[in-house]
Parts: sequence; C-alpha cells; structure tokens
Amino acid sequence: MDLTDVLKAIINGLVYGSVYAIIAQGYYITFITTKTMNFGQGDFVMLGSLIGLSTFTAITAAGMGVWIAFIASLLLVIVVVGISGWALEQVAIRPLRSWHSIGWILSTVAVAMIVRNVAMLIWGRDVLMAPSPFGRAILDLGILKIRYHEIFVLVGAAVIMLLLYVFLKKSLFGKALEAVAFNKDAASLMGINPRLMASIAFIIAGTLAGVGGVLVGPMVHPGAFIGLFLGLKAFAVAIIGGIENPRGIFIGGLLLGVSENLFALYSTSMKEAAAFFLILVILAVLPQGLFGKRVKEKF
Amino acid sequence: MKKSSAIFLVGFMVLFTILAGCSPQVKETGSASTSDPVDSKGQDTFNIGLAISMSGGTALFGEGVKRGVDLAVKEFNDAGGFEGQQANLILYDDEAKPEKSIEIVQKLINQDNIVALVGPANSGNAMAHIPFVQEAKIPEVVPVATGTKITQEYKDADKNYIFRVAPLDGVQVSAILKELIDKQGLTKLGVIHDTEGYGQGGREDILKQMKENYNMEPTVISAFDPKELNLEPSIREMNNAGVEAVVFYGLAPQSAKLLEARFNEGLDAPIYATWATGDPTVLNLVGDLVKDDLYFVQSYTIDQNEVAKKFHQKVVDTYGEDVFPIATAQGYDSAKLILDAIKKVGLDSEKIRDQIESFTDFEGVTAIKSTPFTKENHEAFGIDEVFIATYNDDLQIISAE
Amino acid sequence: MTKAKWWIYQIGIPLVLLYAFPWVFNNAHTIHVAQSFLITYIVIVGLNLLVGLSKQLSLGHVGFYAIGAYLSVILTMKVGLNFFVSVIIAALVAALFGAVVALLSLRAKGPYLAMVTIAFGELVGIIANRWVDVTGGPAGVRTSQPSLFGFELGPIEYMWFIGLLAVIITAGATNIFRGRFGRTMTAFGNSEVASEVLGINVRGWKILAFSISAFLAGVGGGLFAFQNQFISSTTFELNLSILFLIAVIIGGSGTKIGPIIGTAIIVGLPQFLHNFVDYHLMIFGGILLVALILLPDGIVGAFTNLSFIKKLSSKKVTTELGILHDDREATIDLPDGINGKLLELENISMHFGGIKAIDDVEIEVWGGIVHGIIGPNGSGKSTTVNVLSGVYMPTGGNLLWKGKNITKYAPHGIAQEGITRTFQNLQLFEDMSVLQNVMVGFHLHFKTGFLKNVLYLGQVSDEERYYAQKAYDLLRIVGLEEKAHEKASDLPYGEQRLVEIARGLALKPSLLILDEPAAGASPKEIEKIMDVIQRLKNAGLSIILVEHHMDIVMNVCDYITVLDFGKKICEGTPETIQNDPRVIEAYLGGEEVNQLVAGTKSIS
Repeated sequence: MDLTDVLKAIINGLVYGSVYAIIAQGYYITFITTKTMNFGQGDFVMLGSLIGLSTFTAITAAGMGVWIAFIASLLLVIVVVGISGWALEQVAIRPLRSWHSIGWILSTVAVAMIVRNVAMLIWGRDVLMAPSPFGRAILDLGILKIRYHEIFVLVGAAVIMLLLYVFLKKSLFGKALEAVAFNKDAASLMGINPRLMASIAFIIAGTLAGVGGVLVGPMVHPGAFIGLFLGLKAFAVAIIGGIENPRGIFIGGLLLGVSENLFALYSTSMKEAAAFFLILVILAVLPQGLFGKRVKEKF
Repeated sequence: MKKSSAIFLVGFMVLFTILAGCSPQVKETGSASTSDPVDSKGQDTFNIGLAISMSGGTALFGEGVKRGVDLAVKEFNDAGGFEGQQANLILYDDEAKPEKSIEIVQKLINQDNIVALVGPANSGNAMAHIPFVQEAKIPEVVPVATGTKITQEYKDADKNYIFRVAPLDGVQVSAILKELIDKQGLTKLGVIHDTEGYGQGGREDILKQMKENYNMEPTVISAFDPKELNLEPSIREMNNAGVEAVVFYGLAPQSAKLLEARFNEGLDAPIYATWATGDPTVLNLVGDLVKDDLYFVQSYTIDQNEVAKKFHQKVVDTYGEDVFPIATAQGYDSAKLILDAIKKVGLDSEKIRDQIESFTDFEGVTAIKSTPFTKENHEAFGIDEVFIATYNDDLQIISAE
Repeated sequence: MTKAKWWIYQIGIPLVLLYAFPWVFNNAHTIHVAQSFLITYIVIVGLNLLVGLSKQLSLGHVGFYAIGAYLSVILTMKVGLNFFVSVIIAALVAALFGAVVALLSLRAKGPYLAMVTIAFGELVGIIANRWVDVTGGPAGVRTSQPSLFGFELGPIEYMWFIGLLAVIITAGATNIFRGRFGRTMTAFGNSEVASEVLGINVRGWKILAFSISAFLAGVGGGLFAFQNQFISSTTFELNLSILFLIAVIIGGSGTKIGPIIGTAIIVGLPQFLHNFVDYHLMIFGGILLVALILLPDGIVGAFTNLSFIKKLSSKKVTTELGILHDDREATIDLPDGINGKLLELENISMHFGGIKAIDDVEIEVWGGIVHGIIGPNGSGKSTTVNVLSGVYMPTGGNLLWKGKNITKYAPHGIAQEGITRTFQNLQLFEDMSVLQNVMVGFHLHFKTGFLKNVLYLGQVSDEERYYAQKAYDLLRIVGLEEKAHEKASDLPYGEQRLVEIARGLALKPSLLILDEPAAGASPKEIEKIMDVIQRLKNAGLSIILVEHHMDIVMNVCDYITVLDFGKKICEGTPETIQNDPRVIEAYLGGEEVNQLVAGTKSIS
C-alpha cells in the first residue's frame, strides 16, 4: 500500500459517495415535508439508469451525437421518474391515514416491488451496459488514472447539489418547504398546501433518483435487480449525514464513500461489514447522525 | 406456582410423546402415484419440474435454462410424447433462496407429482433440496449449479438420483491449475472471487486442489460482494502482490466489472476464469475489453460443431436471441436426458433414473458424451470435456490451445 | 374470559387443530408449509410485541433469526447438545444481542432506528456469509435431524413440536398483552416522556422489549435451522426482515391475532403465486399496497374498528376486571401530608446554547399547599417544570427533594421519589382506554414479575383487578367514570387533561405538578378542573400549578412565584402578587400600556 493507492481510494470514494449523496437528497426532501421516505428510492435509480441507457442507445444509434443523446436521455428520465415520484406519492403515501405510522415504509416497498417487476419484464433479467458520453476514455495523470466519466460524475454531483441548494434557499418552493418542515399547521394556515408540497417533494425526490441513475449507470451495469443495494447505500448516507440536513448528507456521502474505499485497502471482502459497523458506531454516539439537529423536545 | 407449572409441563410432554407415537406416515405422493398405473395412465400428460431462480442474482441462468428445457419438451411433445402422453413443464421460481427452493421442490414432488426434476442454478439451493429429491426417488438433473459436493452427497447411496450437466467447480479448477501450474510453471497465483455461493465454492476448490496436488497456496486472495460497484481495489491488490496470473471466480456481470476495472487500472497478469466469464453478457457489457490475456474454461461454444450451430439457430429462431447459450444448451440437454429416458422406459421415476445412468447412445448439443454417466460418475463433464478458451481479435470464443 | 374458557380457546382448540392437521392434509409439502408458517409465526409474535406495542421499528430481525439459527446448529453439531436445548440457548444469546441493539439505538428514533437495525441485520448477514469455517457461508451447512429423548422427530412430529411451542408462546404473549407488561410497553410506545414521569424506566423497558422480541426471533431461527436440516447464509438478507415487518403491519400491529393472519399472508400467499413466475413480485406488491391503503390498521385492526365489536370488547373488559359500581365514596390514596420544605431549587439554570431559558432561579416549595408558578409566554415556566420533573437536566444549580439532591435524577427516578406531573401538550397513551391510562400510573405499585405475568398466575389477575378498581375510583374523583372504556384520544380536550391528572394521582405522589391544566379547555371544563384541584388541595396533596389563567391561579394558589425572561421577579401570596408592579409590568408591559388599554392615554 502506497500513497497512490490511498489517493485512488479517496477519489473512488468521492465519486461513488457523491452519487449516493445525490440519491439521498431525495430522502431529505420528502422526509422534511412529510416525515416519510421512499424506501424504494433505489429502484427509482434503477429505473432512471435503464430508461437513460435505452434512450441514449436509441438516439446514438439514430446517428446523433453523444451529447444530444445524453441530454435527451437526462430530460426524459427527469420527466418519467419525476412522474413516477408523483405517482408514488399518490398511491403509496397520500392514501395512508397517518404519515406517522410506519405503513409508508411498506407501501413504498410494495411500489418498489412492482417497479422492479415491470423493469424486469421490459429490460429482462440480465444486467446491461450503459454507455457514457465519454466512452471509456481515461485521464492519465501518470501516478493516477481516472475515467473521464468519474470526473464528470464528481462535477455533476457538485453542480446538482449547488442547484438544489440554491433552489431550496431562494425559490418560493424552498421557503414554503422550510415552513412546512418547521410547522406544518402554521404553514397551512399561511396558505401553503401541505399536500401539494408533498407531491412536489416526491417529484423532486424522483427526479434526483433518476438523475442519480443516469450518472451512475455507466459505472454499475444497470439491471432490474440493482435497486435495493443502491437505495440502501443512499439511505445509510442520509442517516449518517443527518436526514434533516442536506449539506450533512452530502458530506456524509463523501465520508462513507471514502472510508469504505480506504478500508478496502485493508480488506476488500469486509468492506461492507466495515461500513455497517461504522454506521452503528456513529449512531450509537450521535443518534441524529453526524450533522443532524440535536433538538430538545418541548413538553 | 412452580409446582403447578412443572405438572403442566410434564403433562404436556407426556401427552406430546403419546400423540407423537401414533403419528400418521407422511405420504410421499410423488413416488407413490407414478408407480400407480391408474394415476398416471388416466391422464394424457405427465409433469416435469423445473425449479430454478427466475429472480435474484442468478435469474439469467434461470431464463437461459428455461428456454432450453422448453425447447426439449416441445420437441418431445411434437414427436408424439410417450405413448401419446404429453410432457407438461412446471416452472417455479426459487428466488435464489434455499428455503424457497425446498418449498417449491416439495410442491413439485408432492402436489404436481413430477416424474423428474431439472434445476437449480445455485449450489446452496441444490444442497438444500436434494435430500427431499433423493428421498422421494425423483431423478434430478442439475443444469447450472457447479458446487462440487452436489453429486457427491449421495454417491454412496444405493441409487444416487442427482445428475449434472454443468462443468463443476472441481473440474474447472483442475483445468485452470493444470494450465497455470503444470504447463506454464507459475508459482504466484492470485485469486479474486465473489462472496456468493459460486465464488466461495470455487475458492474452496482452489485452495484444496492447490494444497493437495501442488502443495501451494495462492499468493493473495481478494473477495468482493457481487453487488459491489467497483472492483478496482481487487485489481490493485493483485498488482501490489505481483502475481503471475489471476484466477477469477465470479458470474458474468462481475466478470464485466473486473474487466472494466482492469482497463482502468491496468493489470500485469493474465486472468483465468470459469465458464461463466464466457457468457455473452460479458461481451455485451464490455465489448472488446474481453480481448488480451483473458482465458476461461468452456464446455460449449455456439459453433463448436454442427449440432451446436443448429441448436443455437433454433434458439434464436424461437426466442429472437440466445440470452445465455451455455445455460440454454445445458438446460436442453438436462431435459433431453430425462425425456429420452422416458421414451425408453416410461414414467416410473426410478426407471428413468436408471436409464439416465445407463445411456450409451445419448445425443446432446453440449460436449456431453454418448455415455454421459456411470454409477460412480454423475458428472456429464469431466476434465476431458472442458478446455481453456479465449477471445480472438474478431471477438469470437476460440480454444486457447 | 373465565379460566376454563381461556384454556379451551388458547390451548385446547389450537392443540386439537394442530393434532388433526396432518391427518387431514397428509402431504409432505403441506406439512412443510405448515412448519414454515408456525416458525414464522413465532418470529412475528415477537416482532409484534416490539413494533405493535412499544412502537420500536426493527428492520433487522433477520439478524436475531440468523443468530438463533447458526448458534443452535453449532451447539448441536459441534458441542453435541440436544437440539431443543441448543435452540433455547441460542435464543437467549439472540436476546442478549437484542439488548445490545436496544442499547445502541436507545436515543435513535424513526429512520435512525431503522438504520441501526438494518445495519445490525446486514452485519450479521455478512458475517454469516464470510465466516465460512463456522457458518458454511452461502454453500450452507447440514444439521442433524431433531430428536427429543432419543426419539427422532419426523416432519409431522416436528410440526407438532413447533406447533406446541407456538401455542405456548401465544399463550404467554396474550398474557403479556393483557397484563401490566403489555400496558407498559404500549405506554412508552405512545409517549416516552409520560411513561418516564410515571416511574417507568423507558431505557430498561426498551431493552426488555427488544430482548423478548429477539428471543422469539432466535427461537424461530433455531427451529428453522432444523426444519430443513440445512441452512445457508443466502436466507438471511434484508428482504426477510422486510417480510417480517409486512406480516406484523398487514395482520394488524399490536393486536393479539394479527400475527396469525399476517403470517398466513406472507407464508400462504406465495404458495398461490408459484405459477406466476414472471409476475409474482408484482402481484405480491400490489396486494400489499392495496391492503395498506384500504386497511391501514391491518386486517385485524380494521375488523376491531367495526363499532359493534368495539362495544362488545369494552363490555368484556368491564366484566373481566369485575369493577364495582357501588355508591361508596371514592377515596384517594395519598402519602401522608408533609409540612415544611418539600422541594428546593438552588440557583437552577437551564441554558440552551446561548439562550438562558431559566437563569439562576431559586424557589422553595412547601408541603400541603398549592404553589403557583406564573409568568408571561417565554418566561421559563415550561422549562422549570421540565427541570423539576427531570425531563431536562439543569445546566446549573441543585434540586433538593426533602433535603436530598435529585438534580441528576432521570424522570423515572424523580417519579420514584414521589413527584409526577401532567403535560401542557397532552401526553396521553392514545392507543389505550381511559382506564388503562390511569392503570399505567400505578406502575410503581405493581409487584408481580415478568415470569408470573407470562404465566398469568392468580396473583397477577388479582393485582390487575385490584388496580383496575383503584383506577376506576380515581376516575370517579375526576368525574370520568362513565368514559372509563373509551379510547383516551377520543375525549374532548378538557377531559383529556383530567385523565392526565387522574393518571398522575395513581402514582400516589407527594408532589403533583400541573402544567397549564386549563389550557385549551372550555369554561365549563375549567370549572371542573378547578374543582378537582380544589378537592386535591383539601385532601392535603402538595401541588405546583403552572398556569396562564389568572383567575385559577389567584383562586387556588396559596403561594405564587412569578417568572419573567427566565428570572424570578417576585413571590408571595396571591394578594402580594396581584399588587406587585413588577408583575403588572411583566404581564402588561407596564403602566403605559395599562393607560393605553384603558384609553387614558393615546399615542401622539
């Protein structure tokens, strides 16, 4: 193990961690508005990367450029998975009488099962190749080789985070979101419709999952059954970072990615175990995650 | 309080023992009904079971095998079946879970009264359910699962009901080690394997055979979770240990990941892998990364001979594409073994088993011999039926010789 | 239910059905499915206690299941113990792990708790997968055939054996449900803080709930290992935990027969979906979704929500407990009145970051009187109550109770000393009836232990009946005896406050803290509440009354402390306070405002 290895591990960790963090932002948005999350977020990611790769392949096959294909597939994914997010909210969240019960965990899992099955019927049981607009090109820095796509993912994730941040801070929706998160009843008295907010939150969460899917696709070989793993990782990231803190989630994602990959230098097979152990330790010490708000409940 | 509960408990125990003493016998309806002429001749179909994973990590194997078995059954029925009785294929998904596998195999045996069984894809599932198959005296042909122990479990029994038409781990490992150690004289071997049943089974065979036959140990072993997205750490581990060759034990998607990781990181040693790496999925996923320094064990290629070519064509004609040629071919041969036996000896499961064991004129589409099995050997593929293959510049699988 | 009836329904009929099953469905597959059903059922019963009663989410039960399975195999195969002994030992170890998980997640809630349990389950799964020498990994390991007293259990005998265990476990679980253990678990599942101030050590109880649940999961795992005489690490994955949770919720979480129905669905439904190879995931998901939408309380929950069944069951409770409706005067059990100094706040401060919610406050509370604490919004009243009841640990100063330093006591410790409180933001146990709410208040007075409760011995039912009567009497004191069997959350606001007072009284407190007992109540209800407080005062109970309504405070209190901006600004008798200019200023913003209000001055 030398310094190059450590450097590579860190870069790998940043790349994968930032993708998890993007997916995990979806958990954040729906959680602060409705106190619910899509436990099938991973399957939406899967859906995003599969739709993305089909569109990309179809458009490049038609002879158009890779960037047109990429942008088109991104847009299509945003629309389709965004609508899926809305549909999820309509069928699995809204009809539940109480958002505070744990029924939503199971209803979103149920939707995930259906999504998985549909994806299997459309794309088959095999995993597929999702082409990157950069192909397989590698940036060779001498001591260090890195795929252009990975750099793209890092930059893309940062841009998405920034956009999301600006959106949440500056837009009307962002302010309304904060209001609902702070006090739902008061917000609804102010004319903010919490149901509409819930729908919008799930649409954004779906969109993030879809975009995450398009970004991660070329690195994972998407297939109908990859969702659970991605969703679980993203969920872990959201929890470690503190589910009510979007910046915390981003940092948490990078942290988990990097520490996992650093541990892999010691043992590749126990990498997963190490990650879960780390989560247990963090939550035992900081039950609200690393950057979660520690509020004193008032009685 | 203590006294009363003690009496209560003892009372239960006594009652339980008495009642248990006169328990009904479990009916093994599967074997009973097939030897019962009224039951089977009254119907004009009989059932063949297929218990394999159609979801989960090995779903593609299931899909491939299902197509092969379907074709074999269709041919059998088109040729008139057995004395006018048509074969009916019953497929259940074992979801790649052993407890599920037991459940559906029991259902196939006891409720669907199958005469013979094809499956499964996972070695763990096979190990879980074979006791029930053996006990019910139903012949089972394993088309995919490669765990060495599967056919060994009942080798000392009076009649072993478990057969296999797939290159088992022991044979694949022998072939690879023979090539690397005997032929090339290498001493520093690295092993990369997945942590599912496939990789762990392979690792066990590698360690065992290296120890017993060569008194060696792998220089470095790297295991990865098959869900893992990035195999670069494993490649780095190999490079750091300076191995002369890498033995890879993983399924097709992971093979593809490995090749991508090799492309990104660069690997100084050649990769020797199992038949799963010859799966066309790998080629679809990574394209020409399969070229150069990648070798793998094969028992079948779609153009190894005229029969194989014709079969491949038939699969493509029927299904539009050949998703997993080897699995389909092995599934086809597995089912054909059973159906050919039925043509000869009828629907008695025990006789079918005896016939499968004693074929001398079997014609399959894989490298299976005309006398595939003997009483001692329930493996269709021995070391002579497998070979080391590689991709040529036109991305076709050719023998590496 | 009478004893004989109980024996017939809980033990007799299930055993007969169990015994008859293989004679009717004599087929290896149905026997196998029946075994799977019974094994899963045992796990679900345990999870139902955890999720349904104490509202603790677990998505890691597969971890306990796996520990039970592997450990019992190891103990049988490598140590040579009898299979059943191994299963029990393994389940005890699983219970120990349950305690560890509970400890790790004590402060984690909601999704955080979900993550802790998921991480635990995954960790166990990974260890089972990688530690091949011991567990056999995914390739699996074979076990011996289960045997008892040298008698080998075939599939049918084994089914009977599991069935017998399931019947015993069900009986035990039902006993827990109807006794004080179930009540306590439901209580802290509903409101942790209210449970704490009634003397329930919520930490300890969470650990207990997790342990019981893990124990049953461990038993299930052990039995599973010997069902097929084969286990492989592939079985123990997150999906299974989710499936367990589905069974609990869809059956009806927190109900007694929910687990039977839930288990029947997760084990039985797939049996009918085998033929739909390409669609079974979709069908299962669809059914699950529809069930959750149409029956949010689960199948059993939806059934019991039907009004006539509700009526029936409330009647049943009354007769079962044998509560007396006689005309004798209801009396309150209270400790001997104490004169002299009860409670001292020595320079108490409570700072949140930079905010000084209360700062250097000194209050002395004397026995036998009603001591009022008043102040405008944000003056630190609530914080003071939270400090007094141990909900907040003060950042400075000391709390002396009869001269004893109780500053660092947890709320349940303070409750044990005889101080309890009500809540401004109502903290009723919503899933329980009014009577049960009050019965939780007797928590510290119950004597029977866990084992006795599991067996529901005579002592337990006597005790139940005794305290039900006591609780009923308390409800008569606050005038709610008519509503004893209604769901607490269905009562109007003011009555809910009275329930909280009755519940606090059940503790037999030396000091009762009433936190804004009239907030949100109607004038009529306020009158009722005032009347109750007055009577308690007459009975000699020491009370701290935190209140907004001046008329109540001035009428009832003997002595008043006024807080403003976290500081004590004055104290004294109501008359003194009423005329203190500092109070008027704090409340009304001073003379100027007074004049403004009175119209004697205008802003120019």
